[in-house]
Amino acid sequence: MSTVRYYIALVALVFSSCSNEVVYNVGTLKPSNEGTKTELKDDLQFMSIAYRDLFGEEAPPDALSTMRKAYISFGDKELIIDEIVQTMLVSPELELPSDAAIAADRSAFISDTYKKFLLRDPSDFEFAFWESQLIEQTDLTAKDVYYVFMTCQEYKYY
Amino acid sequence: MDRRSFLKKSALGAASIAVPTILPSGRLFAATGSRRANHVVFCLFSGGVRNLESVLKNEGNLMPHMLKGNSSVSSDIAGSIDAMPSSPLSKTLQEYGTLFTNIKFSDGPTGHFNGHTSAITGQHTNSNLSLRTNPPMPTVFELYRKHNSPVHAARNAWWISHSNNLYPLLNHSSHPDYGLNYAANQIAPNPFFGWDVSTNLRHELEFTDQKAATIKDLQAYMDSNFKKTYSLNSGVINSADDREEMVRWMTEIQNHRITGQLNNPWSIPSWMSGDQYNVFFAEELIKKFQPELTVVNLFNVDVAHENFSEYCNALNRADYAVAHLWDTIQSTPGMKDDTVLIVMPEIGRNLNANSIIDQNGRAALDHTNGDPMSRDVFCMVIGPDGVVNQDSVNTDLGATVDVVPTIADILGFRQDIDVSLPGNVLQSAFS
Repeated sequence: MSTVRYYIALVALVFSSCSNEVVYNVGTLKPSNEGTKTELKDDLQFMSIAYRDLFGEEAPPDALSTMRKAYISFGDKELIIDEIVQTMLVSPELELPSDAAIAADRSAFISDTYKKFLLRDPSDFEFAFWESQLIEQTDLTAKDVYYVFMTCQEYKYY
Repeated sequence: MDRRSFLKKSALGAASIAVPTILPSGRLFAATGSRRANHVVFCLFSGGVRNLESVLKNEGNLMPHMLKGNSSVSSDIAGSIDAMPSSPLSKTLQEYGTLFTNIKFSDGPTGHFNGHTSAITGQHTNSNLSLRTNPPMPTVFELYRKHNSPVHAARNAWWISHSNNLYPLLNHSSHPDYGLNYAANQIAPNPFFGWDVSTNLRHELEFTDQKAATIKDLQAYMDSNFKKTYSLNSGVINSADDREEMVRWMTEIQNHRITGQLNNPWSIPSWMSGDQYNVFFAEELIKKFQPELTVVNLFNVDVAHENFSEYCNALNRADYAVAHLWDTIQSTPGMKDDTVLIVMPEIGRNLNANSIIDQNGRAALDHTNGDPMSRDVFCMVIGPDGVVNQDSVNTDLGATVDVVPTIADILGFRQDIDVSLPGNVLQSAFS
């Protein structure tokens, strides 16, 4: 880990484990990395991309058809998207990194997760944040992290 | 804590953000008019029904649960009419209210989407109505939600559509003063609770309280790093509590599907039609949420395009479904004796038949030429004695666009509506 990342991780670790509001000077680091995403995925894009991101292959037509049917059939789209994401995450066919694999190489897991879902590398700040979370939150699984990424605003854009 | 609880917690942040947009210019107090009843169920007896086969009983009484009279069904088609269970009601629906026999779909093409849109917006439609976008004028759902107290949330307004073909669009308009923020919840239960969705849409991701809090924090962190706000295609906005309740309900129904409890729940001797299932799901929803405003449509009668006898059979099945619906309403605490049910086809059908002949030698019927027969429909307003005139028939000229002002009148917000409605309240229905 680079020296910069080490100090950021230290700051993030302290920040995440303290309840008191303390302001840390992190210099000129940009806390966000929005990339160039400006376009909202449409409904079908979201579902097919989510499937591909998770399973590494195109969604079978029948699976996509079922997801689309569920989506169109219910008016609260946020609720249904949440249901669809969770449906994918609990699929027995889904292969997820094990807790041991994550613990063995957190850096790789964080980088891979950003690339997998947000198609970019994490910023130093983001990397440090997630590394601290994976150390601090010992029960955080790949499924949990994937759920967070798939329900974040950035994932709705391309 | 199960996942539904997590959904509730995770939605709290969104709800707190959404509140200012839900009610940017809406009233913060109750509608000014007094109410005739606290619940309205509008059954769009749709698919195109001619008065000839309904209230005029040209083929005998094909709707014996709704209409008085015991005239025999025409002998040549009688064999095509499936037997229904005996009525759950002690008398016909007509006797519980007022039957209007002279209602016109007076303006616009005699198509299903035009007919639906006109009935749900209370506005005449024309050939410029886009089939792929929400209607331009506010729906009755938006009128209801905007001109009532904020407690009348989306969970109190439901659009239960028979299919996913276009009709889901009718839960809100694109009108700048109304729109999505005042939309109804929409569900097309036949596909949503079908086998494929029920067996594949899982509700199993569970989090402990502590994990849920962690996930929520992590989501907030991720969103703080991305400045754009997801707002398009978000659909109707429900509160966190209501979402949780909806997920619980849909899970329950889907489990019933998987365990076979939805196989002919009405014990129809032959089979349950799509219309009957749609009404069944509407009943389940009514029992769960007791909405103030529910609109449910039927559609199977549109088989008339290719089979006249099956059209009559579908009418007979729809007739039983509506009686079953009224019986359920009267068995539901909170709805019993406090609900007005309005039943009306969206359009009629052509006077002249097309060239398709069915198994009984009868010619099929379209609804495409806009002739007077395709514009004539009936309307039935049913409700508690003392609120709705019982066992009454009215032959005065009315219009399908009268239903929206009538609903507004029943629910006490007619005088608060600030858009022009061409229709009139069906006053003679009320005591």
